[in-house]
Amino acid sequence: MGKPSLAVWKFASCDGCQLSLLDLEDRLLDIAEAVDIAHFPEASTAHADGPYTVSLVEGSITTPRDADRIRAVRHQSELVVAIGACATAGGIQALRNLADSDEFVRTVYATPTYIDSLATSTPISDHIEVDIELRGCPVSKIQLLDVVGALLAGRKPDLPTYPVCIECKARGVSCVMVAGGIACLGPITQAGCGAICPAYDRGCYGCFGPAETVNVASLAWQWRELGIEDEALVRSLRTFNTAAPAFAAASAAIEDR
Amino acid sequence: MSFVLKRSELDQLVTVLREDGYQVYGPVVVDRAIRYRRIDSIDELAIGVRDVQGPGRYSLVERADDAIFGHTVGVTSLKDLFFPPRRAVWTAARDGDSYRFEPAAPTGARVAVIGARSCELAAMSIHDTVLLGGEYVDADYEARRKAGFIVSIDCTEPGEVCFCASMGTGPGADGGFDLAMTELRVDGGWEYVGRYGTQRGEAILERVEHRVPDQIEIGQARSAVSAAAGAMGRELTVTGLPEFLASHRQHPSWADIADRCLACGNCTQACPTCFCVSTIDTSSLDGATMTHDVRWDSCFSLDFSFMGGRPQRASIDARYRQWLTHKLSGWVEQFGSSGCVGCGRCITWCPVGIDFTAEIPRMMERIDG
Ligand code: SF4
Ligand code: SF4
Ligand code: SF4
Ligand code: SF4
Repeated sequence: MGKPSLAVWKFASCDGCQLSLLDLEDRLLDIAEAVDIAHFPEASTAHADGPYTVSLVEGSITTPRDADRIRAVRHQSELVVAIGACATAGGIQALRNLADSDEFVRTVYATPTYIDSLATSTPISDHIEVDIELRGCPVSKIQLLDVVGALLAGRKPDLPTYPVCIECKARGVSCVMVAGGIACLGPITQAGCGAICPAYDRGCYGCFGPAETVNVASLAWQWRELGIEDEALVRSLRTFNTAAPAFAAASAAIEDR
Repeated sequence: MSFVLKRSELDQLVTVLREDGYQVYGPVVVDRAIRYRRIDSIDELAIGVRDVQGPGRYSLVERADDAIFGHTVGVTSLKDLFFPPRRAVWTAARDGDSYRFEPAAPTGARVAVIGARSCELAAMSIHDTVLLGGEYVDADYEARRKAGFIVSIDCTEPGEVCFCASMGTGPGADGGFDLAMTELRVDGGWEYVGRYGTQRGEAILERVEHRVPDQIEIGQARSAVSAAAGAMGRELTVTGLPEFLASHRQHPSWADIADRCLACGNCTQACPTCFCVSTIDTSSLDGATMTHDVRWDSCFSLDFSFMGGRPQRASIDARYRQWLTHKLSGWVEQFGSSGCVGCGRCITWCPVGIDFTAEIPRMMERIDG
């Protein structure tokens, strides 16, 4: 039996999640030992044809060509893991879903006809079946490594869906909202980052997207108590995960009020 | 039997404990709040600060004096030290075609805590019942407890969210410590009027300069603590409460609270008695080794009640009700005491300030009215 193969694919994205993989440094050698890295353009020009055991997919779908390409990836892959906010929610570029993208194209490009893009930026799961999603902008290196280990061992990866607050308290961090009056999206954001921002005395920016349960109405009330207007909450919900259904619905609901 | 220490002698106590191989922890200001942190000297403690706590609010203010223990409980508790957020239970290593399983090596750490409050000792005694009292003993907790040394400080200035007097857990400690002290202001200086809890405590204190207090000093310490019992920021009527909650699983207040509750789990994580964990397996990439860990979890997380293919407590109402009724009602039946020691952490550290000492009377009124 040969080694399992791993392919890494890029769609509309900044390469930050692929960099997280490269950033695993010494552990990357262990990965290369455990799997054949068949396709990873960020790291190497070498390419081996599929099928692949696991495909890691970074980025969202923003062009008709990419919509075809992702189907080809699915056909060649036993397992597809979407990595990062772009691949799991459409990314920051999904802000165009709320605007007239044709107008952007007309404004920005001298020859708009060269541009063949879709009106929306959508997550991978809108196009194909995805086996595992890794949230975050960028993904957590620890989760990335754990998922590769889990797939190799045939065990469940450790991807809790509860909010960041749980990791905050586990880390012994107090709470920037309670003790600092700082706006924090932690109570509605999925854990996995290890509560990095609160540990640095910043509010959570919500880069891991919606937690399993979100009560934005209550958070909005608390932010208002702290003197933060709803408008700021709407902007906070419309960043990395603007098109994630729970955030999109909540920001629209606040705006409609 | 009792003793008095001067402030410099309190520092000697830290030194003696360190000489004996203890990692000494005490309340320290870290970022914006007090938490337990490792110290080498009492100078690192939260000296001259007072905490102002309220529902969803916490701040530190400067005191007019330089009391070391002139504050109440911090965000972390003894739970963080004796029942840490994540730890290994067993490991496995590949051995030919099979795996060899080993229980995780017990921690070698010996933790001494200076400044534990009586509500925390009560919480730890609850953990002793839960984690050591049944058929299955938590070996890691047992090892940490056996190795631990506790110096408790009585509370003389309770805070706005404290209600240990209602729960019968404070403000002075009755037991569960090796040494206990009251911090007293005497002639512009500080004295630590103390009592022994264990022989181990006595043996340690023998190596620290101290003197025997007179009756006046003992009386002063006692009255400072009993005055504190009357100065609690909150109260909770516990008579009939377990029965009330058990018989009101359907009540309109649950939905009202759920409108505000974020299901963030901060209350359970900060609570010194909540002990729920989930298990996580990790493995090396080559599959040669595996580790099985436990990690703090919460009845507010959806996975927590996942059974029969779905979460049994999907709504926030159901999850809030689980937390409150387990803590204040089911616990009594299960472990013979309330699960609450009145420390107020769940009130302060709830980001939206849900305060059950206010919610419960409101619930009761709604039934009566
Ligand atoms: S800082 Fe943010 S993530 Fe941490 S407990 Fe507070 S609200 Fe939750
Ligand atoms: S329920 Fe709240 S007040 Fe009671 S012990 Fe837990 S955190 Fe403290
Ligand atoms: S209140 Fe919830 S988290 Fe705490 S011990 Fe009970 S079930 Fe566990
Ligand atoms: S009661 Fe407060 S701290 Fe507890 S889960 Fe609800 S919002 Fe979070």
